[in-house]
Amino acid sequence: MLQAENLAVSLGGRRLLSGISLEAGPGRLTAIVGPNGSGKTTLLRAMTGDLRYEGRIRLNGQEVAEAHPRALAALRAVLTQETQVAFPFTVEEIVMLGLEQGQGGSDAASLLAQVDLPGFGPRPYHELSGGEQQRAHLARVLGQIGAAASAEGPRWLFLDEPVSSLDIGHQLMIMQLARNFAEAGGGVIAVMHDLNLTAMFADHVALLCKGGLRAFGRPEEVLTEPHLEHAFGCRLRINTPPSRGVWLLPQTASHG
Amino acid sequence: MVALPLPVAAQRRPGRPLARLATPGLLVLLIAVSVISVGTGAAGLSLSQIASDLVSGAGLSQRDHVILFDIRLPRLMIGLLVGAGLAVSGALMQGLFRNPLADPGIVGVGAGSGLGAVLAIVLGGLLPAGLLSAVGAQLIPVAAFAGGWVTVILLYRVATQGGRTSVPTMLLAGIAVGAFSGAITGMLVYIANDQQLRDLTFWGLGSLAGASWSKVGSGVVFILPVLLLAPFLGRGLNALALGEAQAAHMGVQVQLVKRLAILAVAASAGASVAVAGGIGFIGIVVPHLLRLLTGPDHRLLLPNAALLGATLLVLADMLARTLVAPAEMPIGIVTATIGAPVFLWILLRRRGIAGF
Repeated sequence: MLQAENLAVSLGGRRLLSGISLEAGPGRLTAIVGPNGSGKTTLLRAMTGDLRYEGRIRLNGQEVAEAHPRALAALRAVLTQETQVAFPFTVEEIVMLGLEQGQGGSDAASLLAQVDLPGFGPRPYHELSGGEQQRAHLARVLGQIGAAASAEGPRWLFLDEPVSSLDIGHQLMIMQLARNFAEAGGGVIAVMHDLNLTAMFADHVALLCKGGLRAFGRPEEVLTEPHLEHAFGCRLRINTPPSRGVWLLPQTASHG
Repeated sequence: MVALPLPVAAQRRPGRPLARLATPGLLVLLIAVSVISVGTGAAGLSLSQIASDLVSGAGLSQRDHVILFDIRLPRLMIGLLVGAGLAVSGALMQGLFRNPLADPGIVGVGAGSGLGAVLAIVLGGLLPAGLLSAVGAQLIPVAAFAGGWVTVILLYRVATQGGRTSVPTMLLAGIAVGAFSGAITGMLVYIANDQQLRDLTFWGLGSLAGASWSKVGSGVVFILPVLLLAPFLGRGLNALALGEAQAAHMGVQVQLVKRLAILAVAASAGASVAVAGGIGFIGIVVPHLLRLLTGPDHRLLLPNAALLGATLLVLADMLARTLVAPAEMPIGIVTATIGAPVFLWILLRRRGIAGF
């Protein structure tokens, strides 16, 4: 269980987040959505232990700020929005960085196949396209975390805009990979930009607005016209398709 | 059955066919160059004579025995320690700053260490007698270490913000540190006496000519522990290559790794400057060549850098001793003549790559 209680984050004297309380369970994909600057990445970075926070954040009952880096690394893995690699590593060496954290149970070749980079192991990382690099890091993150659950409890994936640099085929594929992790008993927290993908894949959605939590609940409860108009400042029409999720279509910009 | 972890060098590395052969190959090269170096010089000592002298103590005349033990061997030891120390401190600093262009000599750590050494030479006599006798012959290396340490911390603080190092800021800060050290050194030259002036001149050029067993002692105290312990920072530095946040996500104690790397750079670069003066480019050329050969994995890079750095410096010293014999060239001239063009070549290769 991931529990945030009355969470607040300030950076350089500015309040970026305040009054956030939410619970994300294992076995679910919880999406964090909101307009630019609403505090999505800040919330994720507080949850992963990158930022100092006020209030509480407990991951499997353990206060994140007090946990040892090694203990946290065994419990959760993090995919950041962008990662700059300083030296000429090969793709396999990047994946090995995650595998060497020792959850075991996999090898670089099969992890690369999972993210649709089969045979990419010996290639220089810097020669990959942006989307391929992002998928290589996802393979590293999956290698670090290993199985979705262990005897000590569920494990967690924190993904910051995991599909923003991917084509639509790979967007669906990577979101499905995240869902599979959740369905195998792990917890997934993902900052998302695309509301349609969010509606398709998320079990719960946290809608942030100006550093506060505007709404939290199932996609159909949160992705509503009033909530979205309040948060994003534009009017959207919501259609419900016969299968999972909703379709959001831009209508007229209320601030245009 | 539990699989035992293979030594890093023995692991299979796709795309890196030379990774497994590099360490043994470099070790053979190091031994060969060392043996040739001991046998080369104004007094022609044959290898068989040296070998029997080392084994039985009776292969050489009294004069040649003194040359071997008081000149050639300490000089070889200094060459090995300083070469290894410079290359490893270069590799550590590049890992710490996440940039292959960071080098103790280029970014002013050498200048900071030199300033510490110069302060110790000129003003050391002003220290209380009790403290002076306690530190003894290690005063200059200790001062060089302190100067280097302050410089690396200063550079890191100035150039790194939010876990990202700005290379232009780092290089410009290095220029400022170098200029400041130069100014203070210039002031000290005015108040130095003749003996101190001779010592000061030595720092500018860089040379192994003043090698002695007491200097070997400084190298053993300050450089050897760094060479032995640096590879243990390898895993942390590998993770740090993706950024500080990413390394922390992978369970690395980032602050600890950074502090240890800074201490190690200051100790090995500082002691190198203290015993051999300013020798440039070993710290940047050696890790770069090794990355081309075996990849950027610091667990391989750090021990291999020690081997190749030691080999290249002993080789450069041999050139410095023999090219203009019977006179001797400062070794810094040799390393800069070869190293500066290689540095430019690295810059040309990196043009257009992200991060610089």
